[in-house]
Amino acid sequence: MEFDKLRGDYKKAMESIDLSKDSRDRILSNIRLEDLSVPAEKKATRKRFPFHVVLPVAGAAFAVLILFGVMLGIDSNRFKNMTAVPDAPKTHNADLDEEVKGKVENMIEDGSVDGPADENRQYKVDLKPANDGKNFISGGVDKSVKATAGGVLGKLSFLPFTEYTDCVVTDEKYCIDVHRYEETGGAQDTITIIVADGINDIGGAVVEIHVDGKDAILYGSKDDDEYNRALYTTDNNLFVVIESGKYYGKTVWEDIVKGASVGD
Amino acid sequence: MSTLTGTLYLPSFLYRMAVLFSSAVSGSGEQASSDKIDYSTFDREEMNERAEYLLNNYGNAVLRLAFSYVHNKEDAEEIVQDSVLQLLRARPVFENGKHELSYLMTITSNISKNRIKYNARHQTVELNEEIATKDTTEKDDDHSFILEACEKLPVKYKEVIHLFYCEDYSTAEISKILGMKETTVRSNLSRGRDKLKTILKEEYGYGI
Repeated sequence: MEFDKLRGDYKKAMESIDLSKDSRDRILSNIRLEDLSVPAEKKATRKRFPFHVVLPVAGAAFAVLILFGVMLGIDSNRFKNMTAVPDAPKTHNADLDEEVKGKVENMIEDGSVDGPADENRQYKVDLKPANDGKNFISGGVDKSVKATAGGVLGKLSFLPFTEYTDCVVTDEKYCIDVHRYEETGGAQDTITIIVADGINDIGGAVVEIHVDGKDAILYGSKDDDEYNRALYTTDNNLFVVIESGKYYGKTVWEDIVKGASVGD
Repeated sequence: MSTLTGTLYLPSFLYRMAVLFSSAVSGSGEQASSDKIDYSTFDREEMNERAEYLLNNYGNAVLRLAFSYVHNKEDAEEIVQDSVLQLLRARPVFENGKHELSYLMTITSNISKNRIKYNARHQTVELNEEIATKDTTEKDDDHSFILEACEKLPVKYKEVIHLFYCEDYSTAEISKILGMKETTVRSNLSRGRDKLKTILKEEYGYGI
């Protein structure tokens, strides 16, 4: 009841606001000038999706995006682990060397591998031929590849690392020749030469070098000048892969390839 | 449940239209017709005639509602024009003139709120205040202070106060026009009234 006065006074105040004839005529003339047709496509664009549709779809899309990002991150890390992280430095273990040597000899003796029995060739193991009598190097070459081409031995005779004070040529041989370099500071690296008479794809070529008549391909990172693998072909069509645990620059690899040789 | 779903999910404008079509709204419209009105059958000439009819019959109510929002007669007249144009373009079908008026009031309310946002962005508030004060004081010196006091209220309060006190709509009808719950209308009306009472008493010495 107390607001009845307010209602009356409010109405009186509002009565002062009215649409004059001039204003009405002006509005009418403006309306007559307007295009009152509504294009069909304009109507279609006004359609809006309600929140209960938009929110779940947007949420699902966001979740898929996050999942995709996580998977991409995992794949990226896996790729890094496969290609970029060098093998951990190995320590020289004389006992282990003896053990390995003994196992290889046992394998030769018990006939599990076809190896010549003579003393000179006892470490040149011919595996039973695979791939139609060919030993192949496949992608992801590592030290698990135990294959030489018909008992041909690869050697690394040139030692380019002047900073290394100790050089040990081990007898740790299956069918590969291992040269182990021990650095003054204690860090070690293993460089392995593998010889095979066939090769499958082992990854994209990065840079080619020409050393001492050998046309080699280096694998690693060209931008960073870091490589951990070299491949070249001999005159008698044998494939030679040299692997290192650490990454070295192109000039170092030129010396390594220069010092590599195949045969007795 | 269906009402709740509609309230939550349908665009507010469509919801309001659906409510307006589904139930009769008894407004205070001037000379509201009881005949069915189908804008979709109108040709251009009939549209012009209908626009004239709307302005003659509902023009003042629409103008006052717009003015209650923007407190500027020029803006309010533009809102009237835009509201009528929007109604004509929508080509709706009404059961009777009351529905038509409620529809027009809803459009006016929405356009007025948009205009307030536009004015806020373009910083024309000070100029508008001058014009509004001039317009009201020139014509009614005795009660213009009530409009000035209403201008100081938040939009959510002054819109319900105007529709309730000036247009004599019930809270149920206001809820349909503004697309809000009736309880919200009541609480806004109560709080707005209290605020207006305080402003009128403290700033204008007006006792209720």
